[in-house]
Amino acid sequence: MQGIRDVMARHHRSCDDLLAAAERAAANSAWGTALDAFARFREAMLVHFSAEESFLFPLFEQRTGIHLGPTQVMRLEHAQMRQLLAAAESALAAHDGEEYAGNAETLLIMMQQHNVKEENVLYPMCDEQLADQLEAIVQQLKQSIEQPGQGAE
Amino acid sequence: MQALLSFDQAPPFAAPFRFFLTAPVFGVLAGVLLLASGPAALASRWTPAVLAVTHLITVGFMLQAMLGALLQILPVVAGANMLRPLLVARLVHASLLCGACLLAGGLLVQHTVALLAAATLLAGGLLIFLTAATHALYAVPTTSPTIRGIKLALSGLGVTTILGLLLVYALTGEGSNQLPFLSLTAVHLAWGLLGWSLVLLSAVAFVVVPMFQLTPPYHERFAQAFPPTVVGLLALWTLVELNDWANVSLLSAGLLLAAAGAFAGLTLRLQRLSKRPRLDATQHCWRVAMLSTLAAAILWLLANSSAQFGDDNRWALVSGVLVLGGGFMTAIVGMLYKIAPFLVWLHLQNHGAGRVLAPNMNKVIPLVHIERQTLAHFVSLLLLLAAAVWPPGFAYPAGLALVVANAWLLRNLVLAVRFYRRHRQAIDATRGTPAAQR
Repeated sequence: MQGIRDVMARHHRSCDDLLAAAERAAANSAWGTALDAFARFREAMLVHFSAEESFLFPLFEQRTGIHLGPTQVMRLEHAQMRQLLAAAESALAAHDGEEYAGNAETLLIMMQQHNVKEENVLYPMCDEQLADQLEAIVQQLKQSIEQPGQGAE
Repeated sequence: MQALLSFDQAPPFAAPFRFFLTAPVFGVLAGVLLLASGPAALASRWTPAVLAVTHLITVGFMLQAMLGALLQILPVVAGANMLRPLLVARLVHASLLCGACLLAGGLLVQHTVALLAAATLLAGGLLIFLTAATHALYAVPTTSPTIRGIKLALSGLGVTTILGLLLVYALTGEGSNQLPFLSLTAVHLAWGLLGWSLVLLSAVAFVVVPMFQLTPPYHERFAQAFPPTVVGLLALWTLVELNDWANVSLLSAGLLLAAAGAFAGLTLRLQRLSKRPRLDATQHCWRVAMLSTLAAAILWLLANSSAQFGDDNRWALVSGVLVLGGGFMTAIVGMLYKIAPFLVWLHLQNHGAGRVLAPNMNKVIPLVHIERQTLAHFVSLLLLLAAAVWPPGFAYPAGLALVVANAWLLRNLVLAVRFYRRHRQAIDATRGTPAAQR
């Protein structure tokens, strides 16, 4: 059976693909395409953050009683990534390729070290702690990240 | 659960940076020693100068950078946090710094007291690091090939250290008649390069290559199997080598080298599928590192399959340069150019507490400096290879190039630290805190 880690890690990879598409367009100075691609990437990231912050993390916190632990750190990193998303998008809107590349590179590393923590540590803990309701949670997460707007936000 | 709680306790800025700033100093020292010793020193892999240069690179450059990076990545990839990381960093760094200098000096002039002091300092420093890392990783479940790889690499480091201690015991006269010196050297070298360095590099690659270079992932079974296979084969080969079973020794060594070559080949194949539009310095470094590793593995296999080729001791020096300079140093240089600027950004961002957005990481070390230094490193690698083949023509240019490339790396890392200090003060100034007057 699919676990939380499988579904969420797969969505991480699809966000990577969206960022790569924006990076390719920006490298070719195709600003219109880059802005569209980046908007899709940002949307996917925000949907992912939202599924975690308003659904998955509260379940983990309720089950374990830990509110100021790893989920809190993940929320802080989400806030940092939201700032980088905004900075990269304004650089793209200003057609500033260099500033965009710097913000996108920082965002990529921030995002990937965050993903490693989630995939290696937090999601396996969620799979373990929430094992009794895994099927329903996985279903709900899939709905939220794959069909945004219809899931539990 | 304990491990999970420690996500936010990333080690302080000074903990990894003291290691990163020290590594290139040893690179410079290795170059200076090559210049001072001249072409005669490169007559074989056994001259005192070559032994000293080798340890300036492995214990001075590589070990400093690898332990500094581990300190930083253990909390990220495994959620494992060392207790009092700054204290551990200070003690380990000081012991390794003094130990590496004494080891190189002791090997160069064959000084018994220096070698014994070096062994004590290095073993002490590594014992502290391994104890702190083992304690941090103790309760961490092995949920990924990377965590398994790091745990195995640390055991490889422990074995390398013990073998190094035995060699010092043999070299300083005490055990010279009782220990098989040549076999012990081969086993020490293999555990250091494969059991510790290659296993750690592969564990890091399983994360870094797909996630930062946007490539497809390593095949799950390969990633699961590679670190334990290398360590298992190494243990088998050690047993065979120490018992002098010549035929089986060649077979098990061949299998080990084939595994290393497979890792390098697979990584190169994945990197060709990268979705990133442009290759940056780090990606160039990774490719050169993997090509060098692959070339060294092929060279070794060729040398051992042909008696005529194997008798020429040039191949040993060439494969040494390929593995140390081309493989590990290049991968480390490439990784430092991501780790150092990102850490500067991260610490500034945390210091600004979300109210001040830190300048993006590409501003920390100007890209043009990174590209030129990487080029200087590649030139030094080519000259070192040429010097290994024809010492009279290339020993001096190679030594000089090694000095230039490493001094430049040091300068770039110092730029990163200065950038951090300047912007930290600027953040303090905007807050009007007393730190602004510092």
